[in-house]
Amino acid sequence: MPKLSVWMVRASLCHMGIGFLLGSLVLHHKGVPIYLWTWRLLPPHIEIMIFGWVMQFVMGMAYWILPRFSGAWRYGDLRWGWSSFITLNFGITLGALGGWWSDPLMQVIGRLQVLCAVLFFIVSIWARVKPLVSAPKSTMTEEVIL
Amino acid sequence: MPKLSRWFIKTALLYFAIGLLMGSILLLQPLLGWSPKLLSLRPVYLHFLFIGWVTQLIMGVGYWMFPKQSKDKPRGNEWLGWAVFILLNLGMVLRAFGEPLVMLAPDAGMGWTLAAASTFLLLAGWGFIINTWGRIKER
Repeated sequence: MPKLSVWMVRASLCHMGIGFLLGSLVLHHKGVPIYLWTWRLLPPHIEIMIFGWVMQFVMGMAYWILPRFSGAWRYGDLRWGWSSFITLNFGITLGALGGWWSDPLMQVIGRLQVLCAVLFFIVSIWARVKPLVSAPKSTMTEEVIL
Repeated sequence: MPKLSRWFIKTALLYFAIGLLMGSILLLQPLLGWSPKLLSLRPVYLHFLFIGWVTQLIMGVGYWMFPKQSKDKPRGNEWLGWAVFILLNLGMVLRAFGEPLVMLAPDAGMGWTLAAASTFLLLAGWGFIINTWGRIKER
């Protein structure tokens, strides 16, 4: 598993842990009320579970599973991938905090960051969606051209 | 494929089918003039698809395919894996009955079902993370 996948999947597990905690508090509050503000945990719960947990998990797995190149750039240009990882987690955090504070501007900026992260992800992964090549030694550029 | 993964995945498929059935009922309710009480299924429907289906499928496939943790414990703690499976599904079933009941009859004293379900689901989620964390690594 490449380092980027390790970071993405572990980050997605962190989001899952937080998302489950927030969801658990909201569900508990529905049955046995805790605090009035518990309902405010619902928007961050949704943001974290959809984008932080499932979406980021799928992205991390894609970096690991999709066909690779041979040579040093076997996972493609990972600078786009790392940019995607960082932007995504900033965006989700901002979106979740915006949901908690009911701040639409913060939510919009967070969502736009998530959009940028997805675009970076697409750029980084696009060339790896390809048929398996049996030639043992070829560079990324050669395979992309083929 | 290990036995636990098969249980996770087959159970996830059941949630998928039941979740979509609930979705269909929710869409048909205004069209056919069925009781508005059916709308109390909405949160259950969403969680059947997102937790029962997607998350549980990830858990099953992850338990099977993630890198091995060690030679002694290739898939982490199997006992904890089964505990996660049982707690998750106990929590889901409990909320599937409890959530509509609490919405339709708030004074029926069934709130404890949701409190219990929330605890089971939280323990299941955290248990999965604990059991999986060591397997997410570079080769």
